[in-house]
Amino acid sequence: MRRCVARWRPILLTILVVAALAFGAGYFYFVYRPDLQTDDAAAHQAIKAASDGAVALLSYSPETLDRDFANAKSRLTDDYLAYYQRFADQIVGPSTQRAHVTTTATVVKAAVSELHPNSAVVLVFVKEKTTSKEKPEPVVTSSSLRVTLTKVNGSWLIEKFDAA
Amino acid sequence: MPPRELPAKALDDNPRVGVHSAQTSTSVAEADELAQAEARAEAARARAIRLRQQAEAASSDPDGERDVSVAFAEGEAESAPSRRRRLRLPGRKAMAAAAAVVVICASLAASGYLVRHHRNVAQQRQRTAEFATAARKAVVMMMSIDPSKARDDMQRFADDTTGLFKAGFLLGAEEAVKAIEQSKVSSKGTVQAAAVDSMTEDSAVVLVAAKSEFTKPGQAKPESRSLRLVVSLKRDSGQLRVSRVEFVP
Repeated sequence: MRRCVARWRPILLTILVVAALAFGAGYFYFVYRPDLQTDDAAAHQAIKAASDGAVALLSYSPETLDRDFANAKSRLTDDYLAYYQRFADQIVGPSTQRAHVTTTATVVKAAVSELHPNSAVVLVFVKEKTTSKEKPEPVVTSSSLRVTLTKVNGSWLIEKFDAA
Repeated sequence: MPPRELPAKALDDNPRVGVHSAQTSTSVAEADELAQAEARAEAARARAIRLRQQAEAASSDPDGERDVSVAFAEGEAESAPSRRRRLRLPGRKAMAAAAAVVVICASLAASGYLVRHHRNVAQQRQRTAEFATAARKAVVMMMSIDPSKARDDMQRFADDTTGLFKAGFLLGAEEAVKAIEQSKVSSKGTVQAAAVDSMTEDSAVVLVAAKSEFTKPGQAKPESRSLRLVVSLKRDSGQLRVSRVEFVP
């Protein structure tokens, strides 16, 4: 009887140690880490990536077109890059060159709509100032954008970019 | 202990050998031989006693009795390491148990912190969703007005506002109701996206991208306009109410 008790106590302690450690480690890995990946700092990063991305995608001028496109492309995921490439080559590039269009986008406001460890949706209000050969006076247009981001190798890239 | 033990053992063997040889010699040999043997045995016994006295004198142990002292010495020789074992083993066991308890307590404390942190995060997430939903609802309500029941629609939105904004809204509401009833323009609002910009326990600023569709009496097709709003919300007597609406140009 005593032997039984003496043997059961270490077994019970061992089970408790393992259980407590496993619970702590599991909770840390599966709950706490994702929580950290969606905290305020992560939200700021997502907002910054979306804002910078929106500005990069919407700002171009004929003189710096290649540089503008290269800058924009570096912020896109592979999926969206194919779409953007077509859009840039077929529409933006020719019309920009022909009409000498220059647009400069600025972010008015931006906030996180959805935030997950590896994806986010950011709502961005932008103001675009556009000048062309025909209209040298800048035309200001406002729009709201839903920028869907995906985390690739630790940095946010634009996966979808549409007007809201 | 060993120095006492060795002579004790030596003297234990010696006399017995002497007695033994004396007994064997009686069964075989003659009387003088027997006498000689007896004398030898006597000498051996005397020597044994002498040795024993020497041994006892050498030992500092107060216990004079040989057998007891030997037994005691042997018992001690056995019990000494076992007592050390008994002392060492429980020590190790107790230490392992204490370490286990410390580990359990530490990981439980850490888990408690993690759980609390997660509860806060979940609470905040829920609050964010609550504010976003309230802002969506308020914007839809603000922009959806049926000219046939403009007053009711405006009143319903006014009920969802608070503070100075409510005062300002009510001030202009009468005019607005009249204008809508006259023009018979019906409008319908939809929210494209909402995002909480900043938030405290009881207030939030929410960005809302909305689309307003309005139909003039003669027109079949509604006109639509996209709007960008910054809606401030405040918790007022348990309910989230609009405290400010700003249109971003």
